[in-house]
Amino acid sequence: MKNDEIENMLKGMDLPDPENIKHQQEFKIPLLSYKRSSKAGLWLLLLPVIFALTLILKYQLGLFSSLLDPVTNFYKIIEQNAVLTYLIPVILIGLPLLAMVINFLSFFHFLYDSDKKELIITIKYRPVNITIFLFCFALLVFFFSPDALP
Amino acid sequence: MNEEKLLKEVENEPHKFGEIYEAYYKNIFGYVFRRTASYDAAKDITAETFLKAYTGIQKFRWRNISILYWLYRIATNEINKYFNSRRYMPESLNRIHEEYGIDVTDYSNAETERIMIEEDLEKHKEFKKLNELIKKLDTKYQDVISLRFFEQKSIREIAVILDKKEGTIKSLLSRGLDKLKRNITG
Repeated sequence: MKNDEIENMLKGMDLPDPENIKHQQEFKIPLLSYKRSSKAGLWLLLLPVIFALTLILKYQLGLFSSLLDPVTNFYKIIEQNAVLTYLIPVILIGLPLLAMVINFLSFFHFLYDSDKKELIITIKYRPVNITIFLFCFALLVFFFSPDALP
Repeated sequence: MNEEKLLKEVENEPHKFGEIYEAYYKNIFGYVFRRTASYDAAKDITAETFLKAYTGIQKFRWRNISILYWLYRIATNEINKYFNSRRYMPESLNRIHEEYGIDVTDYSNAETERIMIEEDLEKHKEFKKLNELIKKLDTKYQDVISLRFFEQKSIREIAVILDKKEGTIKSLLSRGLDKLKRNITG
């Protein structure tokens, strides 16, 4: 048998061609949600982290840098605005709390087996999510501590 | 589909990747299925391919080469992982399972589809027999033979997919056919 004969045999072969594939829709939504959720977790922490860092650097470590002035000026504007004053607790506590819940659910799984009447709790080893969860927790502890705010 | 425009849109609106997924899922699933001859493996590998493409789309630079070739490259790497390991572990799929609780390796919902596709495969006896012989070859030969004869890709296209020179592809194809001939004649 020559290579040409094999080539012709391969070229003329009737191939299976899976058609009417329905299962692809099952995977489409989790696929397209994948990146957005992880981004959301990070954006939720941005403002509270900037706020906490400014407080720590300026009032607890006593660092007075001109780089911090725009941030402190922004907080003065907030103090003078009634609506923004109410929004601050939502930003500083609500957002880290939400990020904490999102990350907590990504490594902590609950499954209720109704047949066996068992609640199965699984903790997945996911270092990034556990770190973000602990970081959020530390951030919340910081905001709730009596000496945190000037 | 204007892929160059779509790629720019995907940067700001990731959900637009859905258009790439819709357009090319069948091509990639078909390719993986013809390589593995397994519905379950094809489903896992195709899902892993699209997940890797989605999370790494920012690395893809437009050079007038269709995204489909890049998807073929990712799929080929995953197929080779599947052939080279006793138990294929789709890493990204495991992560998506942990994050969303969705198990794409749960085949119970697609049982009818699997039966239909596998029944159709049984009708292609000549292909099945030859595919078993191709699977005995080194994966580098499997890649070029499958892309050339099952996916009807030109030498240039295979070179783009596998990121190799055209001369290398021709040589791999010739040696691969030689080895296949030896397998056929026994």
